[in-house]
Amino acid sequence: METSDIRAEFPFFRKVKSECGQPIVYFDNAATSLKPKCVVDKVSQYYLETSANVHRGVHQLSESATREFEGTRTEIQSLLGANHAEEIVLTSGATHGLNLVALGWARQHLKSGDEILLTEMEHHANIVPWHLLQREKDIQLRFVPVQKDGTLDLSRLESLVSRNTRLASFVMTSNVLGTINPTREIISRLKAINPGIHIVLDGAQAAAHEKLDVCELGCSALTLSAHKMCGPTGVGALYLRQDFRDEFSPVMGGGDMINKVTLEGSTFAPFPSILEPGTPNIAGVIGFGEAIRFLKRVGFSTVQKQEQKLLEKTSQMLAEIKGLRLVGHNTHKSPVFSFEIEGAHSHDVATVLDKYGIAVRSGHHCAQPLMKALGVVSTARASLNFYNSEEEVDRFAEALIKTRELVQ
Amino acid sequence: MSVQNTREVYASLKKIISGSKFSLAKQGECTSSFQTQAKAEAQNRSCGDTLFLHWQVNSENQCRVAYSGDHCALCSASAEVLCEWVNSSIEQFDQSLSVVESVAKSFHTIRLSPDSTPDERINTQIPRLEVIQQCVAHMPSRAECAALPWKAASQLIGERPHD
Ligand SMILES: Cc1ncc(COP(=O)(O)O)c(C=O)c1O
Ligand SMILES: [Zn+2]
Repeated sequence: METSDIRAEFPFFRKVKSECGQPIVYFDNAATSLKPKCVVDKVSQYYLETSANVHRGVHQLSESATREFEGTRTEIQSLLGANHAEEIVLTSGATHGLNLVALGWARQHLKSGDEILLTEMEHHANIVPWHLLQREKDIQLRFVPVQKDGTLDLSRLESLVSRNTRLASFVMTSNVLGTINPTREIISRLKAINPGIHIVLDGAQAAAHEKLDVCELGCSALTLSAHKMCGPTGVGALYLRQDFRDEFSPVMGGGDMINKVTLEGSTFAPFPSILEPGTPNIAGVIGFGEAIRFLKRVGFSTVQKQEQKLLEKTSQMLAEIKGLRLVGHNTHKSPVFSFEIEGAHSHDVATVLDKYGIAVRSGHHCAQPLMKALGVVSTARASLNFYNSEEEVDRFAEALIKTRELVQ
Repeated sequence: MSVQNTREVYASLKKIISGSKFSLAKQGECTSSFQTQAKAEAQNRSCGDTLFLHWQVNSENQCRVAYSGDHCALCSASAEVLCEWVNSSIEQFDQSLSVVESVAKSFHTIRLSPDSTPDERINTQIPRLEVIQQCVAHMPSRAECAALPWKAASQLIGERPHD
């Protein structure tokens, strides 16, 4: 698919204009992606024409909703190369998935003195659940350090793992820097020291940009968010490899996760239902399925070709802007750029860019330990996606030059 | 807000910041004869802006309020306006609590109705506060940046040493 054909599927590009009268250049894709019309249609079709609960009721509406809902599970299974659809737990997002691992597994299975390996590059969603667990359990957290170039310092990896490291949980692609971590290498080095270690991957920023294969990766779990993959907000999935999954306990109780309830006690449904209590975000899940079909239609090779082009063009453009400092300068990355403008605060940079119709984010990007490791408090971040165009990069460049004049 | 306005907003913020008398970052904390005795911190949860408001005393027992931290232009300018006002009658610092609190709130009122007239906004008699309020009206999503110093001030009033 050509970029122009892809863009035609997003009403946003035709309809939304900035206060300055020009179309908005949406460079905040790491926060959330734009949604193609097919996804929104699917969601509204559910509410307008189906609107039935799933897994309950024998009428045809419920059957059709259940079929579409479970269809998403199969789409995710195939997207991730999982062996069974029952290894996919539908969640409210990447954050939910990581918390589920902490509460459903680690809380039951970790004992005093056990260790968890994380990295300094993590989103707060992969730090705070472990901090919360530390309030209950005497466990140690270890962190792979980040180097100034924005990559993990893997020279010390072996010294951070031991037989007590029960779980390693880390991000595949950084939401702040775009750094693509050498996931396969890290996993094989960790397993060489501790073959029993469970690997949990935060695929929130990776899943829409490369073909993942959980079997080939050899991970125990992988979390993702639909809204970063052209899907609706408030939906995600957690892959749990069967043997790991079978060690999980339910975290929340209620409808859909039970087998039988008496006043004396409850018995539970099989996986994955046992981890999915309550009426789920049915429309969201159905929309998520459509988003995956859309991504498949575009194809990962197209996604990667366009993102590589945008990466090269934007990197070159940013390097030519005087007074602009890129935070992290490794080149194996997705087109996500954290930067500072000399003498200005990122908050001001983002506000002024917005006035020129460029949407970027500023702040700590939910990764304060990473910011600290890089020696910055906040940055402006431009994150591009496969549907962005080279013309948009040109407008970004012009706006940056005008912004610099204004804020410095 | 038009780009023309953005230009004006930043010009007015820069004017306040460049004439700063109370930014410790500008003066270097140690070169000043004032010593910090108490410090209140306010954080902008969403963006990570941090502002410290210092209660300082010098060898002649004179007191003042000054600020430091890592924050945007709007927050700096707002802090400067605050310090200028409280330092003009520092012996009344404690009595300023209710004003300080209502100014902090006023920025969020402006955020919700940016078109409110200056008369509807309180305390236009604080010198240059109106400039900050106009900036917030132009960029309502930044209300918290402007409020930060005033929040720190109410904390500082509660926490500073009283002899
Ligand atoms: C790397 C990473 N992990 C986790 C998350 C959390 O995702 P969600 O907020 O959708 O749960 C994000 C979202 O910003 C992310 O970028
Ligand atoms: Zn700010």
